[in-house]
Amino acid sequence: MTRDSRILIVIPAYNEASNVGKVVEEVKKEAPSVDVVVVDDGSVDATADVARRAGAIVVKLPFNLGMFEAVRTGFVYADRKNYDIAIQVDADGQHVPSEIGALVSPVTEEGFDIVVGSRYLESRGYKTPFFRKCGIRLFASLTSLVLGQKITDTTCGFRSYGRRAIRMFARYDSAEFRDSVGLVILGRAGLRIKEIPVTVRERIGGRSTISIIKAFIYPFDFVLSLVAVLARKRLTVPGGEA
Amino acid sequence: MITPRVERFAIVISILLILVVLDMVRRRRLRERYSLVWLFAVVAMTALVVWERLLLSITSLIGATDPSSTLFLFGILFALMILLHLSNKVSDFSTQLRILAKEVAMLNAQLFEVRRGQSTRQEGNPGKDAGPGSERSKEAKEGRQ
Repeated sequence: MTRDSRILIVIPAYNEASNVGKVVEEVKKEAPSVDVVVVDDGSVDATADVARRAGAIVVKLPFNLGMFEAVRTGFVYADRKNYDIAIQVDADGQHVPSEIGALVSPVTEEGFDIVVGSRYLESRGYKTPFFRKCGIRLFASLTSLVLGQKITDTTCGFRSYGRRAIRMFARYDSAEFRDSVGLVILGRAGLRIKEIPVTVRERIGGRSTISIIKAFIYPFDFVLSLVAVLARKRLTVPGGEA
Repeated sequence: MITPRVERFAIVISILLILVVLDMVRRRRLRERYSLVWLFAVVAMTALVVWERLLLSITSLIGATDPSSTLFLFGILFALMILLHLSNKVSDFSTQLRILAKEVAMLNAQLFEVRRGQSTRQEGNPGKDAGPGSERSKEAKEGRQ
């Protein structure tokens, strides 16, 4: 499976009607052979319609489950439809679709299971607010320590996943799979992770969805989840049909 | 100290609670399993009030000075146990709800695909919506009985 891998682009979207259409079109222009699924995370605006008109498959959650659960819904879709690679792209237009190829080749050519886009591996002019940067540093260094592999950016939502990773995310239902802890779970299951530098643009429109309270709780939640994951048995990659 | 007056009061409260719990079970507002926990709690508390020797020996066993604090301790422990049990249930439910929500989303997407396939094959048959709202409320009613 080198050239003809079936690729699914997973775009989680929550009230992104103003951006999602443009993102879907951009992705389709850049990679016409791939399927695009927009997971509407219980939006109250026209996100689903806009995405559908732009040519995406729409999976609409009945209520808001949060960014990561939306991504995972996309993985369930990928798993059941037997896609080889699932690529997560944000709906707000921060990711550059022309970089999708760079995320795919480590999976198809080098046998990696997860390829993580990093904003900090190379300096490409992305500016992070101070406190967020501290948080990201903390997550990245703890994750690196646990995995025994250097990880510089655990919160970037531009990633690609091979079949084994898709199966892990689709079939284990645990709230701890988000972001960094998800990487730890996958790493402990023996999956191979690679980081590559990506460019992250400013948002096209709208505002980021991270609230102050969430930003404050996040680090504690992260450490607690990490401890919980390390205390449990390692997961193994589920096999067979969905 | 537990005076006869307190004892009478406790017994009245216990009987009321037992009646309320049994009535809730009768009206299917409370599952039998949960009612057992509540009934056990009420009976245990009443036993502590009525059987003074037991209360006094437990009080000296745990090192409390006043028997009434033993009663409070057990009351609070009991409430905590039930709360913990409920938190556990809520965690289970939220996991189940998440799985169900995803499943609904997947089914909807599949339904959309199937319908689109149908409408491209035979125009003029838009596939009437069965009205999921009415269906759902009917099921909910049946579930209550």
